[in-house]
Amino acid sequence: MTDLEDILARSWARIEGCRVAAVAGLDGLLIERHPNPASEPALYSGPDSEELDHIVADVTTLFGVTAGSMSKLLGTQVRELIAIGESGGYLAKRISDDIFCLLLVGNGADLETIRREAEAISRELSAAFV
Amino acid sequence: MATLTQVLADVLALRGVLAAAVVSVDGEILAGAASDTALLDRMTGAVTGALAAGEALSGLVTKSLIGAREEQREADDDAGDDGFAEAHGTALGDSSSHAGGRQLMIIYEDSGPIVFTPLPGGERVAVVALNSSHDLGRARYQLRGFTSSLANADVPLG
Repeated sequence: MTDLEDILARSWARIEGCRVAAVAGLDGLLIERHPNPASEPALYSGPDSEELDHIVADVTTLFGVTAGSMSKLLGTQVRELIAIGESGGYLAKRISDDIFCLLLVGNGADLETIRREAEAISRELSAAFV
Repeated sequence: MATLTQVLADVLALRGVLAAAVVSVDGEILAGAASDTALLDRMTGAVTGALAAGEALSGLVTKSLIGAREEQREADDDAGDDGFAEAHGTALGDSSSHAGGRQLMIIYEDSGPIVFTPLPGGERVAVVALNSSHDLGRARYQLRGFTSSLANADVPLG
């Protein structure tokens, strides 16, 4: 297991209802994820590799969309995106100019816990990417 | 100092990497390692053409970025909106200097992607064949840890 996988696996375990914890580049490419369907296919219930690639690309686009007037008004880049639907939601947090972390959670996950955990992952990942 | 063969063995151990080689900028294979030697042959066969294509493409991209900057500068001069000009100029600068901008990725339909990474010093290029496009992001991140040793490792004799 790589250091990135370790970091993601620890966070994934701490968030109740977390389906996937991932780190990706702001060029739209997934870097690492946990859990990985290839590791334990029988137990895995999250999005498959292709679906997650598409989600990462969508989130990258959203960060791009918010880089205009929305960022200008805030005075900084948009750091965090939250999307919530009936069966769960996504939280994406920018770690640097190049990478972001992404948490996919099921219905009923606690938003405050997710945000706190995203902050913790960001700190650990930014150290790992130095 | 480690030889290229030793460093390439470490690269080959990364998840998703099927073959890895280091070539000189004029296309000569300096060393290679692969789980499947036929794949290494195919990959190295594609190197020269890909390097030439990559060079041509990077020239086009550079020109288009410079062109976009100049067009934007003219538009900003006309509009007199300094804040937007600054923001837009920064975005273009970021994309051209982004770590991923120093790599060329080619995805073949019948096999996995091949990533070309120019190594520090400008004399060598690392070429890595991956199992699938899902391995691209991780492999690029992990390859960053090898660029310096791939650039400086001794070329094996013979």
